[in-house]
Order: sequence, then structure tokens, then C-alpha cells
Amino acid sequence: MKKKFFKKSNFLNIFVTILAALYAVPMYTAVVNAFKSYKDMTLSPFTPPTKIYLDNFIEVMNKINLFVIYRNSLLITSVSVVLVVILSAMAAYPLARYTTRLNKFVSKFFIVGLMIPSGLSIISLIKLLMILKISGTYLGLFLTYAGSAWICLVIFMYVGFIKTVPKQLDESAYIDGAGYFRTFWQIIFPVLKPCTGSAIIIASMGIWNDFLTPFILLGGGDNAKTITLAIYNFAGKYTSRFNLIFTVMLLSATPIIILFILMQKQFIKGLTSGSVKG
Amino acid sequence: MKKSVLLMVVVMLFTIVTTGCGSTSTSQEKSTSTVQATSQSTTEEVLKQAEPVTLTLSSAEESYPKELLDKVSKIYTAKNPNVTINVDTFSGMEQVAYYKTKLAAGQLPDIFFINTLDPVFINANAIMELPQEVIDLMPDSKLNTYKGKIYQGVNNKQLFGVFYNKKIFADLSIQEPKTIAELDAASALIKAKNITPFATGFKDLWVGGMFMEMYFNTSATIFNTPDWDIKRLANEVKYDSPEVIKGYQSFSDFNKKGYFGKGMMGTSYQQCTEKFATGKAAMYPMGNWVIGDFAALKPDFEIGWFPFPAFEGTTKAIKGLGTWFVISAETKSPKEAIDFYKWLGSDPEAMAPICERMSLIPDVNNKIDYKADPLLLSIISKTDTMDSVVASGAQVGDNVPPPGFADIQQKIDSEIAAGSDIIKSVQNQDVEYDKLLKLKK
Amino acid sequence: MKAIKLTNKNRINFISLMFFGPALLLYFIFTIIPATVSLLASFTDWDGVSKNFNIIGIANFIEIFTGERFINAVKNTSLITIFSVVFVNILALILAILLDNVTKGKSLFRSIFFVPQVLSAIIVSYMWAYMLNYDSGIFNVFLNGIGLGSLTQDWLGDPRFALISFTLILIWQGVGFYMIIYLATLQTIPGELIEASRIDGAGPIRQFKDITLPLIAPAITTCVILSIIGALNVYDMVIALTNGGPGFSTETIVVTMLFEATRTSRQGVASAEAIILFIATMVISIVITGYLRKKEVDY
Repeated sequence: MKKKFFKKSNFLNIFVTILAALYAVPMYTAVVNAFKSYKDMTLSPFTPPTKIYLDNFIEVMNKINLFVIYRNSLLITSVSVVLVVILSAMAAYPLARYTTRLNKFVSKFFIVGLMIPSGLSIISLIKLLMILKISGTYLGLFLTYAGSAWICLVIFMYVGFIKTVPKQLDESAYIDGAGYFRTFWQIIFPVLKPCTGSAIIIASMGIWNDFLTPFILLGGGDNAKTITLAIYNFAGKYTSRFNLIFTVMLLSATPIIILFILMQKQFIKGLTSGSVKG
Repeated sequence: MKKSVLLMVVVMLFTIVTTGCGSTSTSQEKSTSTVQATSQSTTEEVLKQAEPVTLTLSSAEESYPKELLDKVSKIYTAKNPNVTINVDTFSGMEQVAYYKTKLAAGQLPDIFFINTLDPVFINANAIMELPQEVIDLMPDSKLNTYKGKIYQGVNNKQLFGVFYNKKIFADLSIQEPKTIAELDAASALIKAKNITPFATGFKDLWVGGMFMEMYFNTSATIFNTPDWDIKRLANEVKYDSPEVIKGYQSFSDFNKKGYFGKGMMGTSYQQCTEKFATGKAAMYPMGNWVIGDFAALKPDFEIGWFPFPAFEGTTKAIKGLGTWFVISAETKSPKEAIDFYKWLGSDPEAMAPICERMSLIPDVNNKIDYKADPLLLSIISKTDTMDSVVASGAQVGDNVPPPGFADIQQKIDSEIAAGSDIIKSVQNQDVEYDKLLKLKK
Repeated sequence: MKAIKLTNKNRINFISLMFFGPALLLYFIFTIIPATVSLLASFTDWDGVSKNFNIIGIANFIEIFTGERFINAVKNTSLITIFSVVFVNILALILAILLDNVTKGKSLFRSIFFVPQVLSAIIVSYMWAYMLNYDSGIFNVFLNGIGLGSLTQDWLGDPRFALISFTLILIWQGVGFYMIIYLATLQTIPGELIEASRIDGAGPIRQFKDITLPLIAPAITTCVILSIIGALNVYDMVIALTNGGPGFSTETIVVTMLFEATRTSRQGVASAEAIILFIATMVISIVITGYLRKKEVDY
């Protein structure tokens, strides 16, 4: 009996391994060629590099001011994500706890934002930022993200999750005499950690990789501020030098991949409860 | 305890936000080259207003590379130390879309290059009218009139034709084709040797588009009706006509015979140039400016050129008006901008390096002495003796097609290249043209 | 605010407002207002930049419904949406089930399948453009290598294949995300239930139908809706991979919308197309959510 069980799971393991290997081929290609010279790449694109060739990285760093652009992307993503998470968690609390007519309406109002086609409001948004005199600034970008469809999504996630937190938790805090804000931030919010984890990952991914909004607000080209804009510009300049393009991509994707690996457990826990039962 | 954490977060946010406020989009990044003048002042400069002025000079990297613009800017700022020129180039985005976005955001550069000036810029009062002093130096700018006014200079001539690999032709005993039929035969011979006859592609739509324009030009439309584009604006001719279809059909047939190579749809401008210069493709339909790019690729064969053949009779040279940069009407330093613009577009000190690098044929009053590539000179001498027509895609001023149509045309071109029903495509082309024509106020 | 009596309606409303006020305000300013302005523009011939425009009623709507361009975009978008939503969810569920039962390397597999989702559209596009290149891409090289050279195609440049290739790449990128949601949901199914049904003699398929499916139904609803909205709005990937080409064969609604906004300077037409997409998204979401929720309840 035990032997049979063993065989079955081995077979499954191997099958999934093969599946994963096939799935990873495009990424493997990118990684492998980032370490090859142009000649080597054109000769044998799919074999692992015979020697670790770091010149691509040096060349890329000479052409793009990588550290500054990284810092920019990091700054934009982290501040925007923090804003989104804080505002959304706060907003989700009453929407999850009290189903008054007002709250039901506000919930629906937020959901509508998810359905607005991307790119619709770009032109009007620029005009608005110009009127508010924050066009072209980081502040404008932060506020745009903080008021964007991202909060619609994150509020949705939090509402589902908060609903699974027992009301007794809030109530015992109130009975002890705590005010609403204190109750939320000190008692409830820590319990929402899994959902916060998921929200951080999803929002970070989206904002780090966003092209249109930073392009419109900050401008692109050689003065590209974020890593995604920089890749776009770089790839446009060196369309055939795939080995360099892959190098830049590797540099761009690595931080987010690391973030994901670190927060994997939180992410998954956050996705299960509530957010999925939406 | 948690409260203090919250406080910390708020404080952190506040500091970040205020730092962020400081660094607006004009912060000093390594990629923005700030060219400062350091030379000693001459009496001329002492007399000049020593008010420091900053100008932004912008272009697509493909049109005028940063290197070149930096080099030329340095020359200017050495003579005008109060002027700082920030060069800003971009890649990967289509020109018009890029600048339109900047227009909407109120961030137009002081002086920028755009191939065809889209009327939306003019209607938004975003482009400065060129003063007479500039027009006097670039007289052909008078051809680029929009509703009686001149917004964009014209300071060089363009020639469109087919570059070819002399070695391959010699090996296969091919003569320069004078008719489409001869071109067909030559391509068949080349293809039989497993060499791609033509380097072209539609990843950068304009490359394939330009090639198709040559068929369009030659298929009795431009050759029989030289002002076809102008007539189309007045609705006197249509794309859905035998002459136009003849040219498109020829292009489509060539593609079906495999003369353009199979991966053509995804090949970019850069890749096409590489393909030709490394001998993988035998012919390259392109404009004169590409000569500047050949040298860097070190071709191991001699490059020739022949004008695009006609269906019957003698072929004509296909020319274009080389448009120049424009000046933003919102510039904070109009006097300096005009001065720089004038110098950039007509002064031998500026035009010599530009024409040399970009293989341009200058068309200004000043005599420009520069080291022209012998290939360029041979092209000029060849075409000087020929009759010529203006390329369909190279119209300027009031004669440009409705805004946005060029893109649609190129997309339809790629559709035809991909094997669509030509009749349907040209009918669609007319529909789209008329739609946009309504807007051309 | 030491409120203990939470039954006072006004008090609740006030507290609620305090909590969602900031988010609501920013949302209103930066999303609702620009969207409304843009939507109103659909009744004008505004070019997006200049100060003047004329109100032209529903002329824009008539144009887009009688012209070929928009209808073509709707067709492409519909095909992409239906195909990708169905396959992304089915594949994600299958992978989730497989991974749920894998004994070793679960974390690693999870990461591998999820990583494509983490990459930006341009990265994914360049990777695949490289792989599907007609001459040197691994796909065709492989086909040639195993003697199936006659099957090689210009996967992204041939109008017959471009849309399918694009959709498959979209699926490749999206599967990981939904797989993780399904996986997480599967892991909340109490093991005893499965054990109990196995003892009862139910085969794996019965198990799935009677136990698993009902318990993950809410997750399916969420995933389906999210993937629909995502597919209807594809833009970045289209631009980076094919730019709507060859010809117009991969042009989606958002692509043509932004083309009109930025290239032909017809914000009115772009807004009209956006309204249609918006209404369609809402209707589809409401209908499908209603249908799936009903099925949930049935279970």
C-alpha cells in the first residue's frame, strides 16, 4: 500500500516538474542570454552560457543611470503602495462592518472604478494635474495612484477579509473605551496582516510595472524616471541587441521577484480568507 | 506602541513626499546632458545680454541621435556662453504621439523635431510662427505653409530609392533594374540563391510604408498625376482606383513570391539596416539619410543605388522635402530660441556635422561644406539629370493628409503586406481618409 | 469619540465617512472627475488639447458603430476575452490541483508559475518576440529540428496566427495568478471531507464535483470576473508585441481608443469607444456575477 502511494506521488512530481520546466523556457532564455555576448547569443541562443559574461551589465549601467532609476521606481512604488494600503484599509473598515444605505452606495461606487477602461481619463487627468499645479511632479503621481482604481481593488480585498474578523474583537475594544481610530489601527489592522501582504504585493507589482501613468505624468525618453519607462526607451534604441535588453529586464524584474518570494506566505494567506469570498 | 509606529510612518511619508516634491521632472539625471560653456568671452559676448538661458532641444533618437545633438550644441554654447542646452532624445515611441502627450501635459520642449507637423499643435497655438529672418535662410520653408503661415522650416532635400549590394548583383550578373518587370526578374534570381531580395519590415510601420509608397508612386499615380495627394484632399481621386491598386498589387505579389523574407512583419528599422549592411538582403528601399548608418556596420561590399523603377517608360526620381525642427510657442526664451534655431538649421558650423552624420542634402542659402559620403554624391548626380516627383508621404504644410491618416495608411499597408484583399483594403482606406478629412479644418 | 451605542444611525454614518472620506475624496478627484470629463467629451469633437470644441451629439457613436475599425476591435477583444478567460481559469485550476498534491518543491513550482505575472508587459513581449522570431526563435528552430519544418510560421506577423499567439501569451502570463488563488482556496478544504468521501468509495472525479467545486465556487466567481475585466482592457501587451498588427488583426478596443486619442486627436471618438467598453464591462460583470453567485447558492 505504501509503495503504491509512493509511486503515484513520484509520477506527479515528475510531471509537474516537466510542466514547470516548459513553462519557464521563456524566462530561462532571457536569463541565459543576459550573460552572453551578442555574438554568442546569435550563435547559440538556448544553451547556458559557457562563461559568465558580465560586460552586458557594465554596458547597460553605462548607458542608463540604473541606480537613480531604481531609486525612483522604489520611491514611487513604496510611497504609492503605502498610501493605497492605508487609505483602502481605513475605507474598507466601515464598509465591511456597517451595511447602511450610505455604505452600500459607497461600496458600489468604489466597485464601479474597477470597470472604468484604462486610458480613458488620461488626457483629462493631465489637465486636472496642470490645474492643481502638480503636473510633472512625484506628488502628482502619488496622489494619482492613491485615487486610482487600485484603491477600488484593495478596498474590495479588505472588505472581504475584514468580514471574516469576528465582530467581538471590535466590540470588546469599544467596551474597554477605545475610540474608533484606535480600535481600528491597534486592534483590527494587525489582524489584517495577510490581506495587507497580498495587497502590497499586487499593488507593488502593478505600480512598479506601470507604463502609461508615469509616462504621461513624468515623461519618458532618455529622461525616463522609472525602470519600466527606461526599459521601453532602451529596447526602442537597441531593438536587435537582445542580450542587452534581457540584461535590463533581469535588473528590473529581480526586486519584485524577491519581494514576492519573501512575502509568498502572507500573500497566499491573504488571498484565501475573505478576499476570495468577496 | 502601535501608535508610535503609525506616527513614524506618517513622518516618513511626509519627508519622502516633500523630498519628492523637490525633485520634479527637471532634476539632473546623468542622461540629461547639460552643456555648459566655458570659453572666454569675446567682445561680442560682452556686448550680449549675459542673462543665463536654458533651452531644451528634443528629437527621436532615430531621427537625430543624442551624440550628434550634443556635439552641435557644444559648438553653439561655446559661442554663446549664457545659453545652456539640454538635449533630450527618446526611443521606442512614435514621434507624433510622444510630442502630443507632451503638448497635453504642457511640457513641450523649446525646440523639437517632428517629421510632419500635426495640425493639432498649430490649432492649440503651441508652435511659434517662423520669423522672416529664418525663412530667408531656409527659403524652401515657403513650401511648408499651413493656412498661409509658416511654422516649420525646410532645410534639406530627400531622395528615396533602392540601395543595393553591388557584389551580389555582380555575382548574379544583374543590371540595375529599370522597370518593375526587371526588378521582379532580379529578385527571383536573388531568391534562388537563398538571399532575401529586399530588406524591409513593418515593426516600424513607416519602413514598410515607405517601400509601399514607392510602388504607389510608380504605379502611374504620381507619375501620371503628379499632384495626386493634393487632388485627394479635394476628393478628385480615390484610393479605390485602378492605378493605386496596380501598385499595391505589385507589392503584394512580390511579397507572395517571398521577396521580402518571411519574418518581415516583425523586423524593425534598425534590423533592416543591419540585414542589408551585413549582406543578408540584397536591396534596401530607403531614403538618403540611412547612408550615415551604413558606415558603423562596416559592410564588406560596395553599395549602389538605383531609383525605383516604373511599370513602363522612364522612371523618375522620388524626392522629398526635408522638414526641420519647430519652436514651441510657450518657450520662455523666444529670442534665444529663434537665434539657436536659425543657427542650427542653416549655419555651416551646425549643418556640416549634421549633414555629414545624417547624410543630408542641405537646402539652405549658405554654402555648406561637408564631407559627403561618395555614395550620397553619386545619388545626387544620378538624380540631378532626371525628372522628379514629390513622394506621396513627403508632402508638407497644407498638403499633408488629414492628421492620423499616415498611421492608418501604414497599418493598411501592413495589412496588404500580410495578404489582405486589396480591393477591400483600399475601400477601407478611402473610408478612413474621408472620416478624418471632415476634421481637417 | 467614546461611542458605545453603535445603533445611532447618524453616528455610524459619521464614523464611516471619517474612515472612507480620504479615499473617497482622492478617488473622486483623480478618477471620477477625469473619467466624467472624458465621457462627456464623447458628445463633442474635442481634440484633447485645444480649448475649443463643438457639441456634435451622438455623431461619434454612429461613426464607430457603422465603421469597420471599432467593430473589428470589438471582435478581437471578444475573442481574446472569451478564449483567455476560459483557458486561464481551467488551466489555473488544473495546475492548482496538481500542485496541491505535489509532495516536493511546492514553493518552487508556485514561484515559477507566478513569476510571469510579476513581469511587466514589455518584458513578457520581448521574451516572446525573441522566442517566436521566424528565423531564430526557439519555437521554429525546435520545429525544424524535429523535422516539422513545414509547420514553421511567422507566429506574430501572420494575420492568421497573430491573435491566437497573442492570446496564448496572455494566458501564459495570467495563469500563475489565478493558480495561486485556487491553490490557496483548495488548501482551505478540510482534509476530513476528502477522506470521508474516499472512504465512501468516490473516485477523484466525483470528489471534485461534489466537494471541491462547491467549496471553491466563490473563488471561481472572483477569478472569472477579474480575468474578464483584465482581458477586456488589454493594452500594454498589444502595443509591445504587435502594435495592433499585422494590419488591424490584433487591435483591441483600448488600443483603438488610445489611437484615436493620441494619433488622430479625436478625443470624442475615443471617449465614445470608452463608454461602450465601460457599459459592456458593467453589464458583463453584473450578469456573470449574478449567474455564478446563483450557482454558488445552489451548491
